[in-house]
Amino acid sequence: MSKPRVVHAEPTKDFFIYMLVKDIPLNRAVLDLVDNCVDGATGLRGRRPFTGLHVRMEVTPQRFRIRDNCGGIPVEVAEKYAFRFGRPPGAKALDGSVGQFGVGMKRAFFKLGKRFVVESRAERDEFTVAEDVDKWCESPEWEFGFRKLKENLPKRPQKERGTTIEVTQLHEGVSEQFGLQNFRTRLREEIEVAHETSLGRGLEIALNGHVLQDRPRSLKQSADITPAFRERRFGDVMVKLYVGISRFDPRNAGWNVYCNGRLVLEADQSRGTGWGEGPGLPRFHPQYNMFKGYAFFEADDSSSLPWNTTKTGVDADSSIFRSARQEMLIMMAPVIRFLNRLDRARTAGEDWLLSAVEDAKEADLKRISDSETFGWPDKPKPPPPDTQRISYDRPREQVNKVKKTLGLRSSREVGETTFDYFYGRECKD
Amino acid sequence: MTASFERVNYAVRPGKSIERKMLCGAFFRLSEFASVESYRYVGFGSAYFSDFILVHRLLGITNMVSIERHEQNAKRVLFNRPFACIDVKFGESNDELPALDWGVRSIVWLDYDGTLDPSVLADVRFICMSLVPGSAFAVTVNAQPPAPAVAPNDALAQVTKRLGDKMPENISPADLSGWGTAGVYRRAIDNEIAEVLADRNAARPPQQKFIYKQLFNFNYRDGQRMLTVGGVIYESGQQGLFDKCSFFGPQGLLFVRGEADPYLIDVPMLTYRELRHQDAQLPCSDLDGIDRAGVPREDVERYSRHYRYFPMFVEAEL
Repeated sequence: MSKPRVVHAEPTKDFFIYMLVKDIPLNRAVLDLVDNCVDGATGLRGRRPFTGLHVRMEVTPQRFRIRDNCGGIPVEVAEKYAFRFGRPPGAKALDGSVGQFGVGMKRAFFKLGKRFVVESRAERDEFTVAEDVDKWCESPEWEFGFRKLKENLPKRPQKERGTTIEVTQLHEGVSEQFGLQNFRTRLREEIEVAHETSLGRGLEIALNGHVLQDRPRSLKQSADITPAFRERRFGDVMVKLYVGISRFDPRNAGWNVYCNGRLVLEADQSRGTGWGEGPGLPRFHPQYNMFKGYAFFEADDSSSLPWNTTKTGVDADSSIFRSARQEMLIMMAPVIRFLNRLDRARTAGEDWLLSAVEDAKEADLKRISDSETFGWPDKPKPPPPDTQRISYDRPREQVNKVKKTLGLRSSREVGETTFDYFYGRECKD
Repeated sequence: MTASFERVNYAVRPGKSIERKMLCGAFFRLSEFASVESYRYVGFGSAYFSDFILVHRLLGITNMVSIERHEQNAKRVLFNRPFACIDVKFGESNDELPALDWGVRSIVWLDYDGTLDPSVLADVRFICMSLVPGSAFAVTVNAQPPAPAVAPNDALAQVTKRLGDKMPENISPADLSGWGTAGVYRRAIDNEIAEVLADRNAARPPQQKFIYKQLFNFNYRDGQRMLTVGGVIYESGQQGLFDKCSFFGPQGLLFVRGEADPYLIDVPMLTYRELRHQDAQLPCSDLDGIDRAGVPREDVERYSRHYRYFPMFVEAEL
């Protein structure tokens, strides 16, 4: 019996790799590898502090290396799941993980260079996988071979378990970027921001020997000024929202959105987080530079979270985000109203309101939970002025003529006198 | 612009007066959700507070908030506040509504003087985001169609420009004539409510989905053509409670309208003597049997629908 004829639709490896790395910026690819370390840390410690765990990165024009002591990859996981593209059905998901799509690690390899080595030392086994990407592309198989494999070892102490990933033969553009000090500084800042939750829990992350800093998240709080906090559960996703004002900081004003502690949207000032939604929710404007909102989405099953695959934004169509966004909008409107009010207070020199803001101290988010609605001291506004300014242009010649006729010296007097003349005749009761 | 209360005394607009009583009649039935006294009433009381007086007297609500945009009239407004339980907030509704605490079951009547615009829709959006289940609201706008002198295409362009991306689909110039404008506005408001609730419901389990059921779709004219739309918001698990309110059905309220088809409050012009003569024969299932005393049959029919809510105006020196 002859084989039935079919139309071939499987991807070529070149095309597959091209599509995979096309949309991910270099720094995000590196962040994906850090995500794996953080997941390892979560696997070891759950919700307990990460103290004693570290991630050390080496970024040079010749090679990229990331080494952690966050548990390693068990051989079985490597064989069945870790190197697959996409998460196969039946893969056991790690509770509260930041890795979700099963592409991050491989995508990073392809993005960075042509040769990678993964070494793992797990609880009872260890392995090395090494591959030359060009050679892999030529072979029809979708497999990576074990270079070294040892199983059923005596139980390894926790602090010796870990993973090392090394990528060499870096792509030309990547090598060039890695050589730039500014790129490395930016990368460091991005990791600090994206993983501030993990850093805050005690994970030590270092880049070329430089230890990254935890940046505490805070909002101004006092007896007068109360930030808003809401906690909502949507299905299996827990959402925590904090909104208020913080120190004047044009670069960081807006909404910060986190999924399982990973920052996916930073200082957002777009329609996506409610800016420019309509009256009461105007477009972002410098007078809102003190606005700060934090949205934390947390779920054991990370596939429930509203993030996109590159973790550079939210999935605006996800039902969780649509519902949570409404709460965000409700919470931000009073803050916007307050900042408008503050703007007027500055112009009018209302010191009591300015000093109320000045006196409020930055409070860590952990210490904020009192009020569902943003509050501030509400004193009666000063009455609006009784007068209204009018300004307009008329031909100079005509203005001078009127000036002469009325025996006046300034144009201002011309305006006032002619207005009074008209009002006296036409409008007076 | 002068505040509208300086031009019109709301109390003597018969259409509005009837509408007010009808709304209260419907709000009364919310007691299946919770005792009506426990609700909060939010409205635009102006300096007359006509709605507040009725709501407080009839429904016994004591948690009341009036939003007043004309702060320069603060003194007068506060002087005219009829009851101590009314909290007056000075400012634009766009600003003041979000500043209120929305954790409490509410009855909200946004009774605007002006026409439908994005600012009104923003308020509608906000309250539909915020109302807790068992709450009711109504929105009133001026729905005067474009003046006949305006070319139909220009009129349509004006409305389209004003409503922007909130303009309902497939509106032709002819759709705006007469009560058509009110119909278009009702659709725009309805679309806004639907969109908000879709987002609000997106992540909620089936039993907790919010349902909006329209109860009010009034058309009436006190000089200008006016539209009032609104209804109840509840959770799908509360369907039984909603049904027990019997807004619809045999025990339902005759003015309640759940669809696009409006209830027209049309007020017949009758003398006091005629009113009393009709009252003495009402209610009556067979209007043909009524002694009309020369009043046209059509007016008797209209009066019979409204007599319970009919305002009595007398000139009096107080």
